[in-house]
This record gives sequence, C-alpha cells and structure tokens, in this order.
Amino acid sequence: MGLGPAERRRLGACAAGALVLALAPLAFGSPYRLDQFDYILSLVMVAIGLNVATGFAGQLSLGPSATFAVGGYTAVVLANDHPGVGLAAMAVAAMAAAGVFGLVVGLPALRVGGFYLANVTLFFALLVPIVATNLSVTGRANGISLVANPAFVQSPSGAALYETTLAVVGLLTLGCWALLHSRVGREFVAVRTSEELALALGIPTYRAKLAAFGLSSLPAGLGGAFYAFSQQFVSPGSVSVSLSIYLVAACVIGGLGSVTGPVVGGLLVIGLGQFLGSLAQYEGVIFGVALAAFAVALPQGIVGSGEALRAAVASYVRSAPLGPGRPAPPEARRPAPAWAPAPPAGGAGSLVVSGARRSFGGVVAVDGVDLEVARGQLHGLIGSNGSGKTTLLNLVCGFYRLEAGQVRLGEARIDHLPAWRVARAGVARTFQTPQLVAEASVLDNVVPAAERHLRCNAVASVLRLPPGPRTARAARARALEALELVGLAKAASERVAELPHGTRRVVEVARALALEPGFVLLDEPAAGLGQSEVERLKSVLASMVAAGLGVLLVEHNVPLVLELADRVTVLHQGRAIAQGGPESLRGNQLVAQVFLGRELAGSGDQP
Amino acid sequence: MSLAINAVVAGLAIGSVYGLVALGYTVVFNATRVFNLAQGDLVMLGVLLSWYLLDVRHWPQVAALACVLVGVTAVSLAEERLVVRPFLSRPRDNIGWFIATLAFSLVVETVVTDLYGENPPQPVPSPLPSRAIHLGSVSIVPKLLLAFLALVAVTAAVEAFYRRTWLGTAMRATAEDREVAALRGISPTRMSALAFGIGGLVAAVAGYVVAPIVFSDVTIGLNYSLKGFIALAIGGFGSIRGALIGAWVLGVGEQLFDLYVSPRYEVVAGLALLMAVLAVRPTGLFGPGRLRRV
Repeated sequence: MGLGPAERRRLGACAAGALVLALAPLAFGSPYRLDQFDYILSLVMVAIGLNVATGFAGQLSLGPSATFAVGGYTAVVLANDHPGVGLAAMAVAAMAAAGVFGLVVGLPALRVGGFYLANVTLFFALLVPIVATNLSVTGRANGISLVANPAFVQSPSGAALYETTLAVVGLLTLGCWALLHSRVGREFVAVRTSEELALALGIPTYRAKLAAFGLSSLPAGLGGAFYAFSQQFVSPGSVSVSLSIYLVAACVIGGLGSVTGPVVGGLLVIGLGQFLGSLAQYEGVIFGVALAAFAVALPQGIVGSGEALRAAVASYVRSAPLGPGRPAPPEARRPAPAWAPAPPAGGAGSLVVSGARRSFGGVVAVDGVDLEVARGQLHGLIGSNGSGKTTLLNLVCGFYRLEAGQVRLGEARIDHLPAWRVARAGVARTFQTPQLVAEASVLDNVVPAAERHLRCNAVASVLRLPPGPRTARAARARALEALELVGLAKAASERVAELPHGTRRVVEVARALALEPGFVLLDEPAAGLGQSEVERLKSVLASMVAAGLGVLLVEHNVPLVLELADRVTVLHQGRAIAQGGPESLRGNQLVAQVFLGRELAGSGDQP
Repeated sequence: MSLAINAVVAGLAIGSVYGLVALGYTVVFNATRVFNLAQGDLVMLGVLLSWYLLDVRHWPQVAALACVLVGVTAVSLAEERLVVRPFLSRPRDNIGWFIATLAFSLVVETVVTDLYGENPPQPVPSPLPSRAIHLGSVSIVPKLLLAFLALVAVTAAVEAFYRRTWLGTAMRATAEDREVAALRGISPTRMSALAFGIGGLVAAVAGYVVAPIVFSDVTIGLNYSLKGFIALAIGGFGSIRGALIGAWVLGVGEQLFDLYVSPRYEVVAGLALLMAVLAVRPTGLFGPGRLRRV
C-alpha cells in the first residue's frame, strides 16, 4: 500500500515524537523523574481507550478513572497476593477485569442515548473511590502498597520499565490506527455521525456502541496495571473523579477522534499536571478553562486542528478542484455500468405497505396508506409539506413503528424488524438532510455501505489478516462502481465538506446503491440540484429501474415524478387520496385541488 | 418505626433538593437541549454564598437570600454566554456542549474550593427556628420542612410561568421545535439566556434552603448534579412532576438505605435505583413509555 504525502508527513511526526520520548530517560535519568514519566504514560493508555468510545464512536464517557481503578486494583491485589506473577499476568488480569466492568456499565447505560452514558459513567467515577475506601480487599482509605510487600520485585524497572511502557503506548496507538481504518472503525464513525445513518447502513447501533465502550475499557485496564506496577501503590486518592475529568480534557485538547490526539493531549495535560508545582491548587481552573476553550473554539483539538488547517491551505492552493457543482461531465451521460442488484432475502417479491397508520401525540401523520413497489418499478410519492411522506418512508424502513397495518418484503413481514435489519434485508434509503461524514472523502462515505455484504470478521479486518485486505479492496472497488453509476467517480477523493449541498444528496444515492439493495427509498433527492444534476439524477434513476431495482421516490418536483414514475401515490393529511399511473393523475381534479391549491370547478368564485 | 418515619421525612427533604436540581436541568434542557452538568455546582455556590453572607458577614436572612439569588443567577447567565451559546448554532455537535458545561463546573468548583480553603464544613443559620415540631412520634426539623416547601413552591411557580405567561409559552414552543419557534420571531438565544436565568434562580433557592442542612461543604456539587440526574432518570426525562417523584423516591431510598444497610455506601443506593430503572424501564416511570428510537 503506497503512502500519500499526508500520511508520510504524519508518520514522520509520529516517528520523531516516539524517538524523543524513547530518548527522554537520557535527559531526565533520575529514578524519580522516570517514575513520573511511567505515571504519565500509564494515564496516556487510559486516554487512548477513552478516545475509542468517545472520539471514534461518539459515546461520551466521563468515567475512565473508574475503569482505570478497576484495572489498577485488580493488578495490585493480584501482585500483593502472588508477588511472583509479573507484569504480563497483572496486565492480562487488569484488562479482563476492566473489560467485564465496561460491559456491566455499558449494557444498561447505552440503552438510552445521549448524555445518559456520560452521567452514568461519571457516577461510577464518583462511586469507585468511595467503595474502595470502604472495602478491606482494596485496603480501605490507605490503599494497597507493593513496596510494603518484601516478596514483590519490580522487574523490569527503571529505564527498561519506561521503554516497555512506551512501547505499549506505541502499540496501542498503532492498534487505534488499524481499528479506525477497519470496517469496525468505519461502523463506529457511522454511529458517531448519526444513529439514523448507522441504522440505514445495516449497523446494529446498540451492539456497535457496546463494542466501542467495551474495547475502550481494555487500554484503561492496561493503564491501571502499568500504574500499579510502576508506582507500586493504588489508593482511593489516586483514582478520584477529577482524574476522569482531566483524562477527558486530555482527549478533547489533544483531538477527539484522531489517532494521536489522546497521546498528545495526555502528555500535555497529565504531564503538565505533574509539573505545576505551587500552581497545583489552580489545576482545576487551568484545565477547566483550557477544556472549555477547546470544546468551544477548537473542537477538533490540537491534532485535528493542525490537520484541518493544512487541508484548508492545501485546498486553497490547489486550483478549484473538479467541481461537482459544475455542469456534469459528458461522460456521465454514457450508459451507466451494468448494475446487478443482489437478490434480497425476501426474494423477488414486491415491497408492500398495507393499512399503514402512525400518529404522533394525537396527530395522525399516516392514516391507512396502502402502496406497492414492484422490482423494476419507480413509485412516486407526492404531497404537500406535512402530508406524511417522510413519515411513511420512516415507517417502511423501520425507523418508526406502525400502529396498524403492515409492511411486507415479498412474503416476509418487515415492520417488526429493527431498522438495521430492514436495511440488511435489502431496503436502502437516503435522507432529506444528507447524513455524511463531512471530514471524510466521498469514497470513504460509500465504502461502509459497499462492505456490508462482504464477509469478513472484525478481527481479520482490524489486524489485516486474510480476508481483510482483500475485502477492503473489493469494497473500494464496489464503492467506486456505485459512484461511477451516479457520475461522481471523479469526485471520489473530494472531502464531503467541500461539496455543494445538492451533490451530497447524490453521494447518498451512491451509498444506497452500494448496499446492493432490492429497493431504494429516496427522500427528495432532487432538492437543491441544478438543472444538469437533475438530468443526471434522471438517468441514474432510469438505470436503477432498468437494473431491476424497486424505487420509492419522495419528491416535491412533481414534473420529475410524473415523467419517471410508473405509479404515483398522492398523500394528503396522511391519507392516500389518489393512486395510479402518471397520466391518470394529470387530469385528477381532487389531486389538482389538494396539491396545486386549485379550487374545484364549480365551487363558485373563480374568475 | 419512628426511626423509619424520621428517615422518610429527612429523605423527602434531601430529595427535594435533588428535585430542585432536576427542575433546573429540565428548564434548561427544554429550551436549549443542553444538559447543564454545572447545575449541582451552582447549588454548591448558593450554599457557600449563604454560608459566607450569613455566618461570616452576619447579614439578615432576607438580604442574604436576595444576594444569593442574584449571585448564582449571574454565574448561570455567565455560563450560558461563555460555554453554551456558541453551541446553539452547531446542531450536529452533541458532545461539545456537555464537555463545556463539565469544564465550567470544574472551574466553579475549583475557584470556590480555593477561596474556601482547607476548612471543615461550617454550620449555616436557618431562617426558621431550630426547635423540632413534634407530631406524635415524628419530629420534623423546620429546616427540612423548608426544603420540601421550597421544591413545591418553585415547581408551582415554574409551571405557572410556563402556562400563564407569554414568555413561558414561547419557551414551550422552543422546546417543541426550535426552528419553527425561531420562524415565529422567538429568538433561540434569548430563550437560552432566559432558561439559564431561571435555572440559576432555582439553583440559588436550592442552595439557600439546603445550606443549613449540609453546612458549607464545597464537595457536594458533583454529587447533586448526579443525584438530580438520577431523579430525572427515575421520573422520566421531560416530565417535571415525574422528576419530583423521582427525586423523592431517591431521597427516601437513600435515607432508608442508610438506616437499614449502611450509611457508608449511601451512594450505592442511588446507583442501584438508577440501574434498576435503566434495566426495566429506560425511559423512567413517567417517561414516554418507549424509547424514541433504538
């Protein structure tokens, strides 16, 4: 795999940083200083873990100190009882305990989204030192000291211990890079971007969040073991709740979601905390103000802001890139590549909605709607704002639950399935407000959809074992194919943030196609498109239908719908007031009245 | 038995303070979608201001109360301006504001702790007589009664404000749909400032009434923040009365736990309640009944 200039630059910076850290003992060779560095590095491990849950997957955890404490106490208790076990056994035991703890906390706390996890984890951070103070097994308020245990021998120690700790930090960082650029990491990023997006990609979000949170507790436990081993002492005071807040500060200041952010931030924040001296009593104010300032002004942190700055300069220097906003390149008009959608689980049957009903707090948004989308057919859904089009779409793809009626895919009912299963059953969708990872490239936004059907387990994907690299290549090829189909192949390496809004909808269409669905639900794909882009969209829709896809098109552009659709359903106040071929609707008085606001003939006061 | 009844009475009083924190959360959350993690530290600030004015400066109660109301509300408004308003225009950022309010609470706590110094908590005089009221075998200390009445009165006032005034209606509209409210000429930033103003007032009242009970303890902020959250989680998010019930359940549960299990693990009682609710009914007792979307 060739490295681009940006990767090479980043790799160079990492190597230089690692070298400086590795040579640090020569400069500060005193045992006391080394001890402090060991301490800092063990907390950097915890920050690296925190970044997996909070930075990669967007699940705000405020209790890394609790997981750290579980790991630290496990290691110190083990070493106190069995002084000969050594660092490796302490590390394994600490990670196991921390992993179990992470699952116990995450299982209930992740059931409700948003700030529940943050509050619950913060609560654990408050609780763990209190419990440790009261338990005899954790040595109560005094904690447990290995120094007092004559049988315990610290080996490795001194510079060897420091270099070992540093190597582990390096491995963890490398592991994070591998994770972020694997299908597991892409799932985490999809969940962070929006849960709706993740569900539409067929990702079980609860499981993904739990995986991220569970994974994040492993480095925290490891940090606890290294802490216990190097400091030979764990007490309630060393795992106080403020440690959690400083670790969050380390991640935010370094750069949440970047691979090296927690390392940079951890060295800065925890390191600075060690050398504040008489300013230590203002630690909270200093880091509080810094944390607030970064959260408000530089949410990407030091690492992320540096990269964003470089990207901004680079895109300024480059002449205006192939603008998706420009007229469509002529090659977009040539016949689209052959597109053979995989047969969905439901067989070749139709997507049938019957008697669908859903209300929100007394307002009936969808009221007894029937419609059928056959394979190889485009079904238009029109109606004024608030007529229930998007609600119906959300009901079909499992985002909302039906109150009455059913949705069937062939013979199978899908209205009871969670949204991610509906997506996997072969019903893809796009969103009215595009749900894309703005800082990633167009191609990288489509890849997670393209790899949905490629079999490859998570471990192989992260560790680049077969068939990991092969499926990753296949997914990129499929994603490119989908982009070519919608005429965006040349924009594949553009950052989504730089695309005009209309083009983002087209990226969404490509992503839906990359899922290789049997049916695609499009929510106003033509909104915000220029005339040439509408033309391109038309040809894409035509080739989708020609390839045997069933398309449900929600659209305000009525002429477009009437031109392309095989059948059209008109919604008004939640009811289907008309249904039929486009010609039959052109002359329909009721439709004209409701949809175009025309008075019925003969109602009186027409000029 | 009388021990148990006294524990219930004390639980209702302590729970009332959690309820005031939860009420502050709800008012702010409804208008801004921000969960203000500094709410407990605003209560702590109210406690310490009460202590300083009443115990150190010997101010009369009414003047001290007025000053606490003004002081805490001012800090709450400063929080809104400095760390919350920048996020109102970033709809997709659902982590930043939480971290920012956490940072603000850290600053408040550190500043107050540094000013207070390494002293043990000092008693704060209550506006009510200290002699207990006896009802049969139950004795009620007036300062506990005050906390309870304060919660009921403040809740009634907030509900009346929501229902009866134009601004209250505007706030409810903002809670319903911020964009539509903005189209109707309701400024989201003014609603946000107003919500933090009310949140500050509620925290000030809580601090003033709880000061005689907990003394000048600078470490209670985070504890109250989390207990207020548990009250909300038990009651169900968005329901003011649900939060009230949740707060009392938590307060009484804690006191009974102290009495029958162990006061050293009091914090475990709250956790057990929270975990039970999350496991059985994640949206709380009075919540919408079903998760919005999983």
